[in-house]
Amino acid sequence: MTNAEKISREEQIKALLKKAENYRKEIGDSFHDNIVEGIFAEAERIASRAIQYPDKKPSKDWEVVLDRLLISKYAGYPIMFLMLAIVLWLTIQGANYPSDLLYDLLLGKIYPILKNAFISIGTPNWLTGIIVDGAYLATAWVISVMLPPMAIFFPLFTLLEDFGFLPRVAFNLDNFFRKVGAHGKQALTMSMGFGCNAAGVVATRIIDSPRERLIAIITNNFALCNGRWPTQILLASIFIAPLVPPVWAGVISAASVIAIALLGVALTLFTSYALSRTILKGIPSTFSLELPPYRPPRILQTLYTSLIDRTIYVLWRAIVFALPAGMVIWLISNVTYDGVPLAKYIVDFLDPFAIIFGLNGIILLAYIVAIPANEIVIPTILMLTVLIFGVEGYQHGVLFELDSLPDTANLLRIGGWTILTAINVMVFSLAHNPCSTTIYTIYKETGSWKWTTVSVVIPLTLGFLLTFIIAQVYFLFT
Amino acid sequence: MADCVNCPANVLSALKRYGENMQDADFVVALAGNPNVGKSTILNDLTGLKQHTGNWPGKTVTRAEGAFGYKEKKFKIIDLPGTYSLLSTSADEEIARDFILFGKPDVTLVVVDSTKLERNLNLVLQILEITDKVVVALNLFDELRRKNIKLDARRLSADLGVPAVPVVARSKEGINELIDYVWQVASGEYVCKPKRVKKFNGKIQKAIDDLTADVKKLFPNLPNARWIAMRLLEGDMQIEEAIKNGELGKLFQ
Amino acid sequence: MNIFLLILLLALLTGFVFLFGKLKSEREFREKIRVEDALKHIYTSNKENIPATLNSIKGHQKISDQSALKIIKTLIDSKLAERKKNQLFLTEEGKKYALNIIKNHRLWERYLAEESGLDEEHWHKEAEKMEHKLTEKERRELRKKLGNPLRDPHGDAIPSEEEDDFEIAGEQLSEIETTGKYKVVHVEDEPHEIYKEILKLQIYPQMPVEVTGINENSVTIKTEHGTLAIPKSVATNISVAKVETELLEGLQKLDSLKVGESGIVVKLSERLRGVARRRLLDLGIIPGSKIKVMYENVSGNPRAYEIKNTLIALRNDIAEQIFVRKEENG
Repeated sequence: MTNAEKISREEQIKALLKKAENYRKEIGDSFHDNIVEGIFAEAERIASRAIQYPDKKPSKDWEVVLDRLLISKYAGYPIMFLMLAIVLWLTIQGANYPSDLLYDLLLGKIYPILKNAFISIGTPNWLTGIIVDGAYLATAWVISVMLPPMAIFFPLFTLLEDFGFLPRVAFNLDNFFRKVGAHGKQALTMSMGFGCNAAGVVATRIIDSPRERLIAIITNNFALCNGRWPTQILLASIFIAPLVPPVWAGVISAASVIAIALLGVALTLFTSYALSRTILKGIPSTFSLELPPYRPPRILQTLYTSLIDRTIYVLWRAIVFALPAGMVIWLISNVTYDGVPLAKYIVDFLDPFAIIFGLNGIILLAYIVAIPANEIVIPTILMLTVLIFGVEGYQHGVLFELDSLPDTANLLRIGGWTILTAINVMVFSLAHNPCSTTIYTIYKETGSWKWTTVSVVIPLTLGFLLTFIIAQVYFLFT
Repeated sequence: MADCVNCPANVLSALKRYGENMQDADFVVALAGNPNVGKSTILNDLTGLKQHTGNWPGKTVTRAEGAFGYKEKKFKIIDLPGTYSLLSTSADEEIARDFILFGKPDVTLVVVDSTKLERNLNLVLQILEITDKVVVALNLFDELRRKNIKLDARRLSADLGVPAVPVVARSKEGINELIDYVWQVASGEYVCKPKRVKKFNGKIQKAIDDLTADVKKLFPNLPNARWIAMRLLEGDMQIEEAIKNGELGKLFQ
Repeated sequence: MNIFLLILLLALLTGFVFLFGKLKSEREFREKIRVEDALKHIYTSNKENIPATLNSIKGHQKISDQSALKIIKTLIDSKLAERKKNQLFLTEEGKKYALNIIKNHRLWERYLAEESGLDEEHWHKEAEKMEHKLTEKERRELRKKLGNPLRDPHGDAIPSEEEDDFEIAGEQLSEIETTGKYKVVHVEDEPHEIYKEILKLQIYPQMPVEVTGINENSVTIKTEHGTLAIPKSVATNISVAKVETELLEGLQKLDSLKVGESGIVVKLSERLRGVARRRLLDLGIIPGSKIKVMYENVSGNPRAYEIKNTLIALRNDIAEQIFVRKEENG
C-alpha cells in the first residue's frame, strides 16, 4: 500500500464510523429492541414451518402436576425442608462409616508405620514431628473427615439440580430474598453452603447480576457447613442435653443444632439486608429465573462430574492449606521456651480477651491455627487442653479425638468449659471467618481483596458481637 | 505458542484468556447453545468420557474442551458458555461472541432444545449472522416424540441453510450423523447457505444495508460484513477499535 | 495483662496514623470537588450567557469568600479559566475539562440505570460523587462497557470522547401550544424536589404521551398510567418532542393478570433498561409474544409465566413494566 492509499483508506474508515454514529443518533436507543424483534419474528416463522403440533392437546402433563405440587401453598415448603433434611441426614449419617474406615487406614495404620519409618532411618525428632505429627496428621485428618460427606452431599445435590427441583426451591424462597434485596437463587447457594461453603461460593456463578452475586458470596459462610455440623452435634449432646430429663435429651440437642442452623439463615438474611442498604445499595434489577422441565437425572454421569468438579476440587484446596497448618499446630505445641510450649504463651495472652466473649484462649487459638478446615477445630482444642492443663494419659502435642462422649466432656470440663462456653462456641462456630479454602475461593471468584476482606470481617464481627452479648447476659444472671 | 503469530488465537487479546494452542488439531469446533440444553452431554458423546473436562475457575465461566477423531481428521472442540443471545453485554455472551467472530472456528455446533425451538432459533439466527459454518443439533428429540410433536428437520435445514440433525444426547441417538455433518461442513463438502434476517423495521434495514455496503468495500474478504455493520449500529466499541487499528482486516485476509 | 494493654495501645496508635492519612487525602479530594464544581458552574454559565463571578460561585456552592477566591486562583493558575472584567470564562483547556466531568456524570448515571438496580431517585447524587473520581481511562472503559450510549437516563446527550456537548431537540412541556401526540425527551433532575414529583408521576424519557389540554396552571396529558394534570411548575422541567406514533390504550400490566389468564405482549416500558430489558427480550418477551400466567409463589411474588414453551419466573416489579393486551378465554 502506498502512503496515499493508506491515507485514503484511513479517511474511508473514518467516514464509515462517522456514518454509523449518525445513524445511531437518528435511530436512537430502539435499535437493539428492533433487532431482537426482527430476529424473533424470523425464528417464529421458521419454527412454525418446521413444527407440527398434535391435533388434540395431551391431557394434563405430569410435569404440570408436579409443578403444582412443588410450588403449592401447603406442600411446597414442607417438601422442600424435608428434602433438605434428608440430604443432610444422609450426608452426616452416611459419612460415618466411610469416615471411620479412612480414619482407621490413614491414622490408625499408615500413621504409625510412617512414624516408625522416619524414626528407623534416624530422622531427628523435630523433623519427624513437623512432618509426621504435624503436616501428615492434619492432612490425613482433613481427608478422612472431609472426603466422605462431600462425596455423598455433592452428588445428591447435583441430582436434585439436574432433576429440576432446585429452581423450584429458588422460586418458593425468592420472596424472602427479594425482601432483603437479594436474588432467589441465593437459596440454592445457601443450601449448597450447608454442604461446603467453598462449593457454595463457586455455585454463586448461577446468579447473573454482580451485586446479588456478591451478597450471596459474602453471606455464604452463615450456612452451617459439613465441617461444622459435627461440632454442633457434639457440643449440644455434651452440654445442652443434660439440662433436660434423659427422655428429651435427643430432642433438645437436635433442636439446638437446628436452632443454630436457623440462626445462620437469619444472619444470612440480616447481612444481605444490611449489605443491600449500605455498601451494596440497590435492588435486584435482573431477576428472571427459568424453571426448566423436569428431567430424569443420570446417576453415573452425576457421580462422575460431581466427584471431579466439586469434591476433588474442594478437597485439594483443603489439603494444600492443611499441610502448613499442621506444621504450625505441631510447632506451637512442641517448641518450648523456658520449658513452656509456645501455645501456652499465646493462650495466656488471648485468655483475658477471650473471657469477655465467654470463650477461652484455647478456643481462639484453635480457631486461628485450624483455619484450613473447621473439621480440625475440636481435635485442636482437645490437643491444646491436654497440653496446657497437663492432663495425663494422652499423647502430647498431636491432634486426637475421643470415641467416648463422657471422656470428651470430661476433658473439656478440665479445660474450664461451662454451658456458656459451649453455647458460645456453637455460635462462634457458626459466625466466624470462613475456612482458608473458602477464603481462597472467594478471592478467586471475586478477584478482589476488598470483598474477600469484607467476607472475613463481617462474620467475625457478628460472631464476637453475639458471643459478647450472650456472655454479658449470662454473667448478669450468674 | 510463540511461533504461532498468525494463528487465530493470537489475533485478539480477547482470546488470550483461552490460551489455546490449536495448531495440533485439523479443525476447531465451537460448541454453542442456550443454557440447559444438554451441551455438556453432547460434548461427552462426541469425545467419550475420557476427555479432559473440568471446571475452570474463570471469572463467570466454566469451560471444558475435548477432542475427537473422525475420518483421519483431528477435531478440537471448545465448549462456549451457554447464552440466550449474542447481542447483549454480559461476560458470557462476549466470550462466546468473540470466539465465534475472532477465533474463527471451522464449525460452530449449536445445540438446540427441540421443545423450545423458537427461542433457540433466536440464537441460531444470530450465530448465522456471524459465521456461515454452522451445524444445528436438535437435541431432546425424544421429548418431542413423547409429546407427539412433529419436527421436519429437513425443512428446518433448508430454511436455515445449514444442516439440522435430530439427536438424543442422553442415548447417543443421532450422534454419528451429527459428527458426519460436522466433518462435511468443516471439510467444505457441505456448503452452507445461511439464512440472514432481512425484515427489520424500515429505517433500521436501510441503515444496515448502507453500512454493510461500506464495510464490504473496505474489507472485501469479510464473510460477515452485515454483522459488523449491525455491531457498529449497536455501539460496539470493540468492533470500532478492531476496524480502526486494522485487526479486523488482518483477521480475514 | 500488661503486654495485652501495650498491644492494644499500639493498635490504637496505628489506627490514628491511618485515620490521619485518610483525612488528609479526603481533604484534598474535597478541594478537587470544589474546583471541579466551579468549573462546571462556569461552563454552564458561559454557555447560557449568564455571568460567572466570584459571587455566583459562592452562591452555587454555598462557600465563603475566601474559599471561592482560592478556587478561582487555582483555576486561573492552572490556566483553566480567565478573568475578563470581573467575569470568569473557561479557556479551551478548561472547557474540555468541564466537559469530561459532564461526560463522567452522564455515563455514570446511565451505568446506574442500566446495571445497578439503584433507585432512580439516587442516580444524580451518586453521579455527583463519581464524576470527580473517574479517570479518563475508566471513563473510556465504562463507555465501552455500556455500548457507547447516546443519552443518559434523563434524556441528556452523552457526547463521544472527541465530541462537543450537544442538545437533544425538544421543548418544555409548559411551553407547548398545541395538543397532540408527543414523546418525553428529557426530564430535569434538579431541583431534587421537583424531580421527585416527576418520579412520583412515573414520567420518564422516551415515554409516549398525549397532550389533551393546556391551561394557565397546568398541562393535562394521557399516559399509559392514565390521565394526569401536571402543574406548570413541574412541566417546565419536562421536555417533549412531537411524534407520529400512537399512544396505545386499553393495555394492562402483566402483573395484573390472574393465574391462568394470558395476554399478548404489546410493549416493554421504557423504564426497563439495560441488562433487565435485554434479558427479557432474549427470553422472547417481545411485542407480539403470547404470555400466560402459570403459577404464583405463596406470597404472590414472584410468578411463573409460560412464554414460547418455557417457564420463566419474574418478580412483580418487572412484570408491572410489561404491557399486555389480555386475551379472552385464553
